[in-house]
Amino acid sequence: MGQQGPLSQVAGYESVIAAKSGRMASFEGQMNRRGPAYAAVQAGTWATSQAAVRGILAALLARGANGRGQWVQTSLLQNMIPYDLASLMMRQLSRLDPETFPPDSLGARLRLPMLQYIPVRTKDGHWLQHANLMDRLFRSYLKAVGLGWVLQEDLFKNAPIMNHESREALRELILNKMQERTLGEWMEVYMADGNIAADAR
Amino acid sequence: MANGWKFTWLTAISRRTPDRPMNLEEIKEVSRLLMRANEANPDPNTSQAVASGILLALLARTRTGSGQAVEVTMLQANVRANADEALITTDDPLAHCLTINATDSMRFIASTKPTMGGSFWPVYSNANGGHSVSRRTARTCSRIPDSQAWPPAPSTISNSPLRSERFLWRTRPMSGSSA
Repeated sequence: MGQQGPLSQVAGYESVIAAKSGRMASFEGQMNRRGPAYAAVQAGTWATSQAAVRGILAALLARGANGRGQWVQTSLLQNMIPYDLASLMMRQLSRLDPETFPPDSLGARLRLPMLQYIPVRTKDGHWLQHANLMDRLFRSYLKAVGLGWVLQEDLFKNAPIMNHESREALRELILNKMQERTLGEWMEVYMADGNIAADAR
Repeated sequence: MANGWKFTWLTAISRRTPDRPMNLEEIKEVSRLLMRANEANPDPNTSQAVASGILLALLARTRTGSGQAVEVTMLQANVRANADEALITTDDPLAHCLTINATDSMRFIASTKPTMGGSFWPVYSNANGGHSVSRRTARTCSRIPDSQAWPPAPSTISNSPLRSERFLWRTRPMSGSSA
């Protein structure tokens, strides 16, 4: 772990770095208990390998330009940072200024997903993870599954930008609607629309 | 669903839950759990490959004088980033040692040789009714020379001390097995 310091002779495993750095804490809320959850995807290993490749390539470019060899080093910790979109920063801010940035309670972690990324259950028990982030894609999705009518209603006309009441009402409509057909039937609908899913062969 | 990757706005198909109906509150809770387990890593995974490709192109230009086209797909980058979890099917030669134990909620491989810690490994069901396991799982299992030597699977998933937390939210007693 690093070139110097008390842990420099200890092998750096991703899961250890993830636990020690707080990455696993950012997955809290997956389990029915408080505390961190295991970060299963070895994102840091991939990113670190690529950082090493880039460091070597940059060193070769530098040597070509000035004739001097370069010392190349990277770290798992450095390369886990790009995967943390906000939580580490928010934790640090809440430590520095808890009044302005109150600690993220478990309540926030128990928040239901945004509608554009909602996982839904189909009639035959499969789960689909949606990713209709853009407004137009979300609206296409609603129309494709037979919920286009909601866009004419005052309560939902600004979907997916809505207040809490409207959002939760639409969530229930979506989750109930997706229970009406099987995975195969929905995939046919999605593929036919072309804005929901497509072949990427 | 035809063979091939289905992509774009539908990012993943998760595993199957029991056929019994679930009420709306149960569905909401599982939906929340699935989303909490969903990390937005495909974008940064891909940016890593893009950045490496650009540097490689710059080096190539330095050496050859020719500019390079750099092209990366999210699918390529993420298969590499998740290489340990890239899937194989159960007819793959690596999978010869696998024993798949079914639960009423999902399927698990019971890798119960004592030296393996008695851990459970996930089996993924696909939309065509087939099953697949991760390469990491297959590599681990393939080190076990004789699958017949495995002791019986524990009666419940919760007996396994090294179980993966990711799959704990649906645990049921074993109700049958298939190979």
